[in-house]
Amino acid sequence: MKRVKGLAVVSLMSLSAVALAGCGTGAAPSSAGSPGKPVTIVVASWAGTNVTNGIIDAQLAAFNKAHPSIHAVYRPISGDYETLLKTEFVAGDAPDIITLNNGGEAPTFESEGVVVPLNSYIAQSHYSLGDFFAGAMNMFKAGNTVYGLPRDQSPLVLYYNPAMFKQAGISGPPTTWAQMQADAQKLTNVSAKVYGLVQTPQEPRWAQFIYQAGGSVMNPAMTKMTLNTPAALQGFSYFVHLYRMGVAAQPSQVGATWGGQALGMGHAAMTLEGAWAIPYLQDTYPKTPFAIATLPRGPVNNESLDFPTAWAITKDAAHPKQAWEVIRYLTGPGEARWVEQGGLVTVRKSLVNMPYYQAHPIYKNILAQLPGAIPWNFPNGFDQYVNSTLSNVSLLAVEGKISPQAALQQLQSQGKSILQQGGN
Amino acid sequence: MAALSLKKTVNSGGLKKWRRTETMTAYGFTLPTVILLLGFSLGPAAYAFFLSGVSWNLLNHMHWVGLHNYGVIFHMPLFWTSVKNSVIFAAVVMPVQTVIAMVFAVIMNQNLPARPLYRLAFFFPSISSSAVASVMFMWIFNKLGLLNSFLSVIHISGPNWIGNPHFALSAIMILNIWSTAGYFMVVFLAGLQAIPQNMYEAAAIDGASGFQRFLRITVPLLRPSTFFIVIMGMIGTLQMFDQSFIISGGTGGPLNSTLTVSLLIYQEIFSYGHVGYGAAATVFLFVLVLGLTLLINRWLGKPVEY
Repeated sequence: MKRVKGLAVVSLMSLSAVALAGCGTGAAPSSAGSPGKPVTIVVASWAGTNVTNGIIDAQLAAFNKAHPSIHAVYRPISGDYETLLKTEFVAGDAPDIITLNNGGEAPTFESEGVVVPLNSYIAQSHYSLGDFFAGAMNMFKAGNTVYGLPRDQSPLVLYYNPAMFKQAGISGPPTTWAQMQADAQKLTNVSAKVYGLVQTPQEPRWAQFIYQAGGSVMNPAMTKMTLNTPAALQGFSYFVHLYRMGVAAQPSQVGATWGGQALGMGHAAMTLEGAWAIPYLQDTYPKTPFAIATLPRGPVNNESLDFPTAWAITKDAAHPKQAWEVIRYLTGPGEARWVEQGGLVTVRKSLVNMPYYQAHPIYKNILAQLPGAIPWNFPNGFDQYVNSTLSNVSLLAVEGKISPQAALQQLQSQGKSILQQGGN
Repeated sequence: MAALSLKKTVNSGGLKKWRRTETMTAYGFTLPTVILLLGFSLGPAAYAFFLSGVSWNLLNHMHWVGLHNYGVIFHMPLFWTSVKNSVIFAAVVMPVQTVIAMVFAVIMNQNLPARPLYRLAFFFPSISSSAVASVMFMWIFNKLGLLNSFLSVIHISGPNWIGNPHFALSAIMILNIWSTAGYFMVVFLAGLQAIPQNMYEAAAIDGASGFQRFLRITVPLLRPSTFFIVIMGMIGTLQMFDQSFIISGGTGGPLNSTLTVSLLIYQEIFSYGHVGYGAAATVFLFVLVLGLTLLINRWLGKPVEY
């Protein structure tokens, strides 16, 4: 009994302390209602790995401890994340904070006004955006309007099986396109169901070859398709050629669903994935050795694609001020925790030298790949294009049913007509 | 008390009135079901008709466009691909599962040892979740999975069932037949119990063989069950969604080979924000199912008399 009373006194004291502190900064949770009744802020994201779920839980627990007037809870959404969010937006009861994904989801949500601009909050609390990697930051901005603050990112890197390389007498990972092709040929053993490269033929796994040849998918402002250039054709043809030669395979050909799984199962000598494959491979296939290298260099450079995500406040948030406090924490002190606990790659330039990265050298080449990595993004209206057109047309090319040139022409003209229709 | 009130109503001469209270009571009892039906089944169905005439992406304001959506989907190659897939799927799965269910039901109706065990085994797929069955079959149909390992024993190099556009829909057909045949078998079993035994005895005395008895007595007299199974099977197969969704990861791939009408409706509405197109496709599916049901009704719906 005595202890309970003691606790109550302590919590009352901390509450009043917070209320006082709030008065000082001017960001007082005045709409929070009576003290002692904390405002609940629901934070949603797709159900990631146990690692990421655990990190978000821990971050919010730490936040709640420091902010007794706000109670933030994590709600992982399993299944079709964006679809579920859309239905909740229609019903008007979406979570207060959501995670915006790359690949065109952010522009869709932004242009429909279901996530709110953060500029006023940023200005009010003198929050600095300068420390974020520019690529990750810009993906969640429209003009000068900021819709999301970066949460994590990962560039595409080359995963390989060093034991297979050694067995084939190859000293190290390939550093050029030509070397990658030659190595893949040496490493392929069709009767043993081992392929040099196993990869789903989808655009976020081949667009980097286009950039490496000096081309691009769209112009930086995302107002024009640029898949009709010779450089784009060179990059895409290189990718298709690996499959036509028989040294690259689709995951389903070796009984896997994605490249990382194929590598873990021992059916792939190389695959292109992001940092998310590290905990997966370590947990699921602890016996398969793997290492990470930066991407082999193309004719122009060895640029990669980047896959950032961000925290955003939704239109349905009843307490946007409190939600902003949560985001401020998650992207500030929370971001450091994110790194410490082995989440995906940090979005803050100042954190790349964190002790965690020193202690885990597997991240070295991932961090080395970050500068210049191109954020993977599409404008509003490209949902169907991203989800099915790109993979279907790539699949036709990889299976030799249409030429790489015809494939790019199709993608160019279909993308163009979406842009002409102005989104939807 | 009941007797008393009955007496009273009869005394007041109101058989009519008694009927009316009876009717009111009946409506009272059906009211909860009627509310559920209106709220969760007929209401949304009517709403789908309304939605087929609007332009709406879930997040913006809807506006009326009339029949425009129908024009769009009828000129959409992807829509006809999905219709073709659904029709092929129904045309293969429905007859095959009906025949298998009937044959198994007749076998299970014999005096076999361990009969309950077999019945359980055949019925089991229909009580297991469709999602679980799909995941299990993904493992079976894996390029290096169970089915291809069996095939390799007899020196057949199995295809990439799920990854190859030519085989993906067949793989889902096999899964669907496996999961529904058992349920329909039970319906046929119930139908078999209703066939009078003396017909078989009479036929046996007349010298009919076992196969003749099956063809001339069992099959025709099972017609009410067959009617039910054909109708339910057709509706179920034309509306197939879950197995395609899980096996293709929601895409209807590879190369739209497993894209059914229902999956297209889902994609249009929830993934691509074309609610009007999806609703128009829903209405199309409704008309298709209604038409085919009426046709089957004319063919199988008549009662059998001997």
